[in-house]
Amino acid sequence: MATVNLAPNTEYLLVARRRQRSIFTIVAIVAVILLVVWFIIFSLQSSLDNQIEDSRGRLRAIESEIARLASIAERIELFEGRLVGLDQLLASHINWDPLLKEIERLLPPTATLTHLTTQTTDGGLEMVGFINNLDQLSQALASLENEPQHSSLFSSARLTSVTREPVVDSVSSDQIGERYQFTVQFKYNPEVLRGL
Amino acid sequence: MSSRPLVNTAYLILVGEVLVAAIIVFTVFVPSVKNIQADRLALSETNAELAERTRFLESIDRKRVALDQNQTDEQLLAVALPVDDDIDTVTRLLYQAAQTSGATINTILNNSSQIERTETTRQVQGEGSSVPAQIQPLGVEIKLSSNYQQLRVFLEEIEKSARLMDVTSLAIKSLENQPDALEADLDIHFYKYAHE
Repeated sequence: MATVNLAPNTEYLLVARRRQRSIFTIVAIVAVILLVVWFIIFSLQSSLDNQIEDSRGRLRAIESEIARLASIAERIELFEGRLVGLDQLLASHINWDPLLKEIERLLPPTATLTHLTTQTTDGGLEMVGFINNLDQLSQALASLENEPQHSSLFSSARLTSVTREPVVDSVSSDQIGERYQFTVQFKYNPEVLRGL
Repeated sequence: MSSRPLVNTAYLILVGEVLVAAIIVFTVFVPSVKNIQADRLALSETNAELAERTRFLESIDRKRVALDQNQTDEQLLAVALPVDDDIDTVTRLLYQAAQTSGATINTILNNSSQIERTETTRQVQGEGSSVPAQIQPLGVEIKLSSNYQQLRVFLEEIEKSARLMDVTSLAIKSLENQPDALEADLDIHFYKYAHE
C-alpha cells in the first residue's frame, strides 16, 4: 500500500533529536563518572587523613609515655651498655696465675729470683736470679721453652748473661762458695693470660 | 524547523563538558591521587614508627621489671664498671686486697691521664683501641712490700675484686739481706663506662 509523507523532512528532525538525546546521555554519563571518581577520591583522602591523624595521635601518646619513662630508659641503656662492656672486658681480663705457676713449676728449687719484670703488652719477661749449678739452669731453660716434647707457656727462653760471683759469709767475710747470677728473657703470648 | 542547532548545541555541551572534565582531571584528580599516594606512604611510615615505638615501650616495661627484680646485679655492675673514675673505691679495694694478703702498699700513683694520652695516641695512629668502645681505661701504679705468697694472694684478690681491675705489668725485686721480702711495682688498669 502506498504511503504519503504528510510532513516532508521531519524524519531528519527525528534523527537529530535521537542524536541529541544520545549526546546528552553521554554528557550525563561523563558527569556521573566524574562525580563518582571525585567521591571515591574524596572518601579515600578523608579516610587516609583520619588514619594518619589517628596514628599520629597514638604516636604522640606513646612518645609522651616514653618521655615520661626517659629516666628508666636511660637506666636500662646504661645497664645494657655496661653489661656488654663488662662482658668484653672479662674476655680480656688478665689472670697471672698460669704464668707464675709455670715459673714455679719449671724453675729449679735451688734458684733464687731477685728480679722479675713482665708486661702483658708485649709478652716479654725478664728474670734475674742466682743459682749454684749452671747445669740445672740450662736444664730449666730447656724445660721452660715450649717444645713438641713438653708444653710450656713460654715460646722462647734466652739466657742473656751469666756471671760467676763468690758467696761470702756475712759474719766472717770469708768466701764459702760461689754462685752464678743469671739473666733470662722469655717470650710468651699474653693472650694466654686473658679471659681465664 | 532545522535540526542543525539542536545537534550543534548538544555537541557544544559535550565538548564543553569534556574540556571541563579534562581540566578537573588534571587540576583536581591527578594532584589528589598524588596526595593519596603521599598520604599512604606517610601513613605506612607513621605506622612503622608507631610499631617500633610500641615495641620499644613494651621492651622498656619488660626490662624495667627485670631490672627491678635484679637490683643487686645492677649495683654490682655499677661498682665493676662505674660511669666516673671513682678512684676512692679503687684505693679502698687495693687496701682491702693488701690487708687480706698481708702485703703493704707503699705508694699509689694515679696515672689515668697518661693512660688516656696513650690510648688517644693509639687511636690517632690508627692502631685501634685496646678496650671496647665506650670504655675508658684508667690506671694506678702501686709499690708493694710483701713476700712472694702475699704477692700471689694480692694478685688473686685484685683479679676477683668487685671493681674490674687488670694488672698489666709486674716488676718484682727481692730485698738484700731479707730473702723472703720483696718489693713489687704493679701497673693496674681499671675502667669506666664513658656514658654519653
